Amino acid sequence: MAASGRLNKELAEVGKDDKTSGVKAVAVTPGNLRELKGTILGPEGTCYEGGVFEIDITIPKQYPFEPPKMKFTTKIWHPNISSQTGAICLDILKDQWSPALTIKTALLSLQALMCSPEPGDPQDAEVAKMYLSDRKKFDSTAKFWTESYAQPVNEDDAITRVCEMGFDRDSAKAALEKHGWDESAAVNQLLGGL
Amino acid sequence: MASDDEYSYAYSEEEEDYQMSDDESMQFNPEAKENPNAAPVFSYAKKPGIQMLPADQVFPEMKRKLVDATEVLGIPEVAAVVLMREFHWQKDVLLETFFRDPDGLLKKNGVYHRVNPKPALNSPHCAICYDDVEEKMAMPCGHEFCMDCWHDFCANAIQEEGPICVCTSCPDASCDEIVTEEEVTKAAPDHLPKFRTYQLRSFVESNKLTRWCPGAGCERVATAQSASAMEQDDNVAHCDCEGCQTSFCMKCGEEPHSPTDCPALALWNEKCRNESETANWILANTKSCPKCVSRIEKNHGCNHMTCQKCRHEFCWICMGDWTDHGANTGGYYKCNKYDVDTGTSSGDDLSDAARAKRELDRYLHYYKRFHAHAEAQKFARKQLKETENRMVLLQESSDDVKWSDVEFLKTANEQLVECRRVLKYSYVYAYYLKPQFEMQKQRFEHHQEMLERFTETLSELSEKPLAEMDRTDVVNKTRVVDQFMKNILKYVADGMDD
Repeated sequence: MAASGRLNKELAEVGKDDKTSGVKAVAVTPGNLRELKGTILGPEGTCYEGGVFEIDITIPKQYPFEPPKMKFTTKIWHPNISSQTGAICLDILKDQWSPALTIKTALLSLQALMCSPEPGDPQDAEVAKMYLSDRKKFDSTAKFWTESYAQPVNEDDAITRVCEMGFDRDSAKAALEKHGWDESAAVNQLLGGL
Repeated sequence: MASDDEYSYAYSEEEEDYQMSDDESMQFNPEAKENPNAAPVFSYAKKPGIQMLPADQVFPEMKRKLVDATEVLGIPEVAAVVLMREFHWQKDVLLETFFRDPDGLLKKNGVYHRVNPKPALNSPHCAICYDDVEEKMAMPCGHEFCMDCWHDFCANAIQEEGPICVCTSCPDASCDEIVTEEEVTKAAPDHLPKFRTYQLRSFVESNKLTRWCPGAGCERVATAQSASAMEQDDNVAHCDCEGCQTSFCMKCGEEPHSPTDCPALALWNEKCRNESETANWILANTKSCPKCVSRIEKNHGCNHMTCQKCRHEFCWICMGDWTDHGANTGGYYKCNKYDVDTGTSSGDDLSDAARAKRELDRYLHYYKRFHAHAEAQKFARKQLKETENRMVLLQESSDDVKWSDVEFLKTANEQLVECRRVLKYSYVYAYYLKPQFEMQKQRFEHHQEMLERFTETLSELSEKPLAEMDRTDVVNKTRVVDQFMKNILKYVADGMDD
């Protein structure tokens, strides 16, 4: 299938305007185009504003004739996304997928879904119920979750904190990047490497 | 289980009694007296207008209907397929809607551009693989893709999506134009046979006048000439497959279920699925002898039980003493009626719990009897094989016996299967009978009781050892039972008018 050539072009395309579009997608390990990591910035004016949401993307063998599999790894309070597993209920990721759609359009659709939830077709019944019955409580819960789980890592601060534990700047940065800016994982690796 | 000779005598008297009553017409065939071995005529003559066709003969039928529609509509055949499917292959309904708003209908069903093609968009690259390709193929909607991507797209739809692939729309995300046989033929000829199979399948399944034979592995299709051919007078469109010997109702695909109609049967099946846990718990496969409490498994068709341990005789259905069922006591088979008073001790308790309990009791009453006859039907079917062996034995037992002289055994057995089936569904029918038809209900239960009683007798008779077998008796009882079966079906078919 024509998948790998297309995937390279797709990723390049996403990279072009990720600063303005608010979505991006990169390979988890360079060279493997089947496992991607997507990122969506919480849309302005919503209770997700200021959050950075990560999405696991798995590309099936039949791509682009079958939709990419996507799921939130960042916890999010949203009627169409499971608060437990991050599973997403979105038609274009299921039967409405078309090979003329792309990873970028799918991520943009997710961003749009964050702006306008569809509680009538819920993935998480509990969240949808709250959305419909007590909108205020929903908004504050979603905001609280965004502040608790979806905060962007300030890379410089993280590097500085790791350096303070006695590692040099270059290896601290490399370890942090490798572990997706998870400080304790990076420190563990650095300690193991000693 | 053990048969009861005394009961046979009782039965004979009762039969004479019965013939004297004039509200039941139970005529013997006058010829029967001359030839006691004449087989009773089975009620299901082949219905005209319903045919069983092998799958490959259905294809021309589909083609014929398509050509027909294409000519009238003036649209390509591949577009007509889509419209006909949407209208369950009812041409008249389609034509009516079509001529009211042709464009609207074409758009709604994704074939507008098939009739009004657009030129190809002519973009330099393929929107699926993003490569610059010279040779591309366009749908009538103008969206074009390279041949490789077209092939993979069609192949993926046919292999991964299965039968629904006939509804696949253009690869472009915002376009609803349907991908048809035309594209598959050009881009993925290797998958065309499979695509055509799915098309035929959707023809049979979306068409109200066709149905796959429900027999396991059978690939025949029941085809009705018209809707009226499926309207038969006993609430069922009876169909017999010559290929696999399966009988079914063409309207719903279930076993022929007269006197019950299809919607009531569907309700009943749904109810039985929902209640199955409760019912199963109550209807474990064994029952205790009401006298000595030893567990008894019923492995024959007859409901007259004799406990192997204490020789107590009882009725499997109501667990009452068998003597209560005899003719002498006037009790007969008093186990087909649901008596509200014995069904619950608090008939006028209006609390929800009491109502629910009453409803469950009522359901269980009917389900128990439905289930008992269903099991008996299975036994009777199994017995058919054994019966053939018995026929051979019986023929060999004496020199001047011809095969036609022993065929009565098979006829009796087949009659039993039929009666069990009708009895089974008569309980579904009775369950859904509206309470205001009290008189009709009583009459129906009377017919049902008679059929039940004679079926039990026939069941006992046909299980007798060969040495005790009385041919004339069996032949007569078979005919009587057949008549009762027809009576009950006719009573329902006539709208239960007296």
